[in-house]
Amino acid sequence: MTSPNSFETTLMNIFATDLNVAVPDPETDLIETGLINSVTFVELVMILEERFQVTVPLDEMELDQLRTVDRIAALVADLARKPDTAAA
Amino acid sequence: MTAPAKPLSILLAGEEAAGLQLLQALAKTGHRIVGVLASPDGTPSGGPGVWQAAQRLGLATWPADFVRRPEFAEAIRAAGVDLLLNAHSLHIICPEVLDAPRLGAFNLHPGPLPRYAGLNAPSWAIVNGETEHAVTVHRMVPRVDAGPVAYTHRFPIAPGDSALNLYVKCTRYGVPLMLRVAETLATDPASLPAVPPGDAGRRVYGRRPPDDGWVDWSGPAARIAALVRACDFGPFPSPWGTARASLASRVLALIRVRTTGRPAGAPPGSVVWVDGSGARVACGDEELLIEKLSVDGRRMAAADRLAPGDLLSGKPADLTLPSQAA
Repeated sequence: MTSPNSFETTLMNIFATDLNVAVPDPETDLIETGLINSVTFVELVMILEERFQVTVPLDEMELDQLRTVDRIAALVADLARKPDTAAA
Repeated sequence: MTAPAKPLSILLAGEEAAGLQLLQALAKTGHRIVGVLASPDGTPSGGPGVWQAAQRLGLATWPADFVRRPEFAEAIRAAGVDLLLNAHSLHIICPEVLDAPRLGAFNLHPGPLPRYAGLNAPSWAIVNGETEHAVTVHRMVPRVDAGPVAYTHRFPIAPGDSALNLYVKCTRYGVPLMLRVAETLATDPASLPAVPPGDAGRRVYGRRPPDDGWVDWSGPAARIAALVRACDFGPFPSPWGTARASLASRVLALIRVRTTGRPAGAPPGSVVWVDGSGARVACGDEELLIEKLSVDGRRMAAADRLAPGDLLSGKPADLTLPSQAA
């Protein structure tokens, strides 16, 4: 188990409040453990895009990048730095 | 979000991610959500759904199939419902319920109309090789997906788009259209566009994939690759099942494939080459590379299951299916 950094904590709070999903650890496999299904997955993408003003380029990425909170944090940070995926 | 000048009383019938997103978005507007029609059991995979989200918001909930009951129309009128919004709820709403809201009922359809009416429009669009898709909001009439169109948002289908990707895009672009309908009806109902979709090119698609998901190896490789992508919900169960082939009466679910551009020189279905990248199989025109497949629910590299000389077929005549699950 690892301690979440501040951004990971923000994401875990979003999971808890918006998706009603309690994520025990930033490295927990959200799909393997069944914490998210296809509906909550789509919901997650929409929330990330709205809150962090990015566009998640699903056709250009591997879904594994959304498999854990720490990978989601890295993805969002990366997208926010790229002007073509940061929403106007 | 600023409050609408004239808040509407809205009844939401919703399922899946689009229903959830629309519920969350409506809750942030100044409109009054009178109640929510949804499946009490949540999502098909057992996770929390629209019903649970509505209850967390303290909203009244009714079973989704109430829209089939003419007597529910009276409850709608008694509650002063201005607008019924339907997002991916698949129950056929009876005419009495459609007529009950003061300003009518509107449906978010994940496809362009009239060409992609019916069910699973995103998957059908991928199978058909479309390069563009759309979400449509239309006024609901008793005939399925045939009412006047208020708004459409068109967007490209990327070459690698899976069904899951396209469902995300439909939700991304569709929910704002529903909010736009509510805003227009709240401020200037007469200005809401109402374009009859007409019947030219209309096609109503069904629940099941073409040939029930069985691959026709004599067809083009690109068509088979499109079928695999149209069934692809990533790691989640696909509502379309999987694209399937058989090898000596064993069912193989095709999980990930890609076209190679290499002309086929062997009978369709022949495995002609296997290496670390996958197994190349002859189709009607080209060889198709199978990278991942699934047998009895276990995912594996194609190279772990297929060998040169294997002959894949579609549905064998004597096959009894234990399950369609990948």
